[in-house]
Amino acid sequence: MRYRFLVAFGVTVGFCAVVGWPSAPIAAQGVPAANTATAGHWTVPKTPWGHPDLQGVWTTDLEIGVPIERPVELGEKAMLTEAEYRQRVETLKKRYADDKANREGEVGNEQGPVHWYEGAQQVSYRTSLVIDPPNGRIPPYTPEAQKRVVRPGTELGFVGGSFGKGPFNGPEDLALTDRCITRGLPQTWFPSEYNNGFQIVQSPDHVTIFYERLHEARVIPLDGSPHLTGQIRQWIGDSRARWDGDTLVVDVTNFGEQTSFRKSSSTLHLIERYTRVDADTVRIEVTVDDPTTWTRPWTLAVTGKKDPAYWQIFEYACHEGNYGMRNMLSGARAEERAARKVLEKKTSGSNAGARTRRNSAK
Amino acid sequence: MGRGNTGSARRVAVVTLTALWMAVGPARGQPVAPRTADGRPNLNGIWQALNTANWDVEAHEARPGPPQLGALLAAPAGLGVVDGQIPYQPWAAAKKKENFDKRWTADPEAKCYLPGIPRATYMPFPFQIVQGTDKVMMIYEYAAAARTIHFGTVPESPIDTWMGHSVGRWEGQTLVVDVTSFNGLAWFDRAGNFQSDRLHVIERYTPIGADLLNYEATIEDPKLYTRPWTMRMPLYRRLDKGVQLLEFKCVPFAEELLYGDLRKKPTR
Repeated sequence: MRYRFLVAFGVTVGFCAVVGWPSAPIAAQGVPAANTATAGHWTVPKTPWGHPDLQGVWTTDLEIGVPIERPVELGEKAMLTEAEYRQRVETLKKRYADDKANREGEVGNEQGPVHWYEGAQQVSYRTSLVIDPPNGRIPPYTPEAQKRVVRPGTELGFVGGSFGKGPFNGPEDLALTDRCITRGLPQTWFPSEYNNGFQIVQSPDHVTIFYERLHEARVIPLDGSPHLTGQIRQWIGDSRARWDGDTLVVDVTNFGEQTSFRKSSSTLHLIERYTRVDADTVRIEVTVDDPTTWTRPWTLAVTGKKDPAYWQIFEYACHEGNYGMRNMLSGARAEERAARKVLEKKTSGSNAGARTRRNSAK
Repeated sequence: MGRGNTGSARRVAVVTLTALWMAVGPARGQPVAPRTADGRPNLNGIWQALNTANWDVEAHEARPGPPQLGALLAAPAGLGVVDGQIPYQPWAAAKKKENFDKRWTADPEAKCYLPGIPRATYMPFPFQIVQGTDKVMMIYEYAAAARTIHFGTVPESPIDTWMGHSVGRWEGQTLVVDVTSFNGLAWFDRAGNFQSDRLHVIERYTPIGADLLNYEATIEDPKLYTRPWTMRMPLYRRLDKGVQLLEFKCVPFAEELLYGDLRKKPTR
């Protein structure tokens, strides 16, 4: 049975959110969807050379609004109740309301004006992106990681200049995303406010994934070759793939210290599993294994859906259009100049004999 | 087979050899590339240009680099990849000269900006072609630039971009790519040859050997040129053991150039 989901804003299409979890409680416990996907009549189409076909443009828009970690009070509940779901739909509708008559009054949340955002068109029942441990929460840090200090600019959302806290002394004080360098892995998978599309193109010996947000491109060999030498570390690591039945398994190593997810280090190791569970749905599970950071591996999952209106990946020329960087740095310098002038005025005593300078805001 | 065989034995020999050749792929010297499962020319692989086009697409002598770097960034001489010279309108020729004079800061490559088409093809970095069933990806090591080649009828691009909007079709052995909807901000090279948003590029990728492509790009732009012009060059398959695209995320390398003037000065 094909599910056609409605893209019209404000229509709740909750039943689509559970496509891919024919037996929601089981899948929600972290059992790979591959076990449940083959239970029905649908079989994965194959490429002309006989590999499962995961190709196309997929979007994780469905899961905008699903937190990475599950609120503690929800325990091991992987799906919202109907009442909780209606609550979430209400909240998201309000957050993403696009009042065309009142664009001036929009308040975004640091990712631009609200009318750019693509949430609330479909809404998921999931309580968290983390599916294992069963409580949907990232395991505790190791003693070493607890003491670890991560350079602010390398840690998305934790601290740093970009989220208003400063300092703004130079580009390195801003988050990697605000510098338009990378979102990192696994962060690139997390649904954000817009441009969540990713495109998969396959050949007999490579799989490419092209993410729209921050134009990240991965070319992943299927030829069984070994990982890069450990002397080369990369922002999004080094990926190698193989087929496990109908599931694409991608192993990612060779991370450096430049990217960090929640204090992860260069020993970060990801195992991704991609399974197409129906014509319009691909499920990606990412096991995060970093023994120097977390006391045990943990797994998150995201759902890619096909959307006829989302047929191409737009160019995301982040760095080329990075006015935000210049604005934030020049704003900080202007504030410092203004503060110096105030200080000079105070310390120069009365106006008589002192040179007065006008504040000139640039 | 030696001389003196009967006609039928010779026919068998020809058929057997042909079958072997088709199964095994091109023998040394055979100018035919292997085919994909659906019978198309197989362009899959990692390719790279081996010329000085990124320095200057026209014929040029060696040139000095920034003086403080000695001979490190001097440009080698090159025969050029253009048929003749770029046919600039007079105002555009003057603008090109302006660009050349301030190229060390004005070149979008210095800022780690997306290279556009055709420059992405001949940057001094490899790029990879991955041929899917209805899309072809071209992924460039430089700055993770990438583009999708669409096939069939696709809507016009709603926006102008650095890398343009690419629609491909097969003409016999050749992949023809029609690229439009450029924002006109990229350059052709480090010599100040620039673009406008009326740019239209038609590329042709033709295998001429198992490890060799012929690349041609016809450039049309009524704003800048008096007529269309063409560039051509071989593209070589990278055969190094274990070769793969590595990361060249150059944004951090360009930040001092772009934002150094806004850095907080240390207080006296």
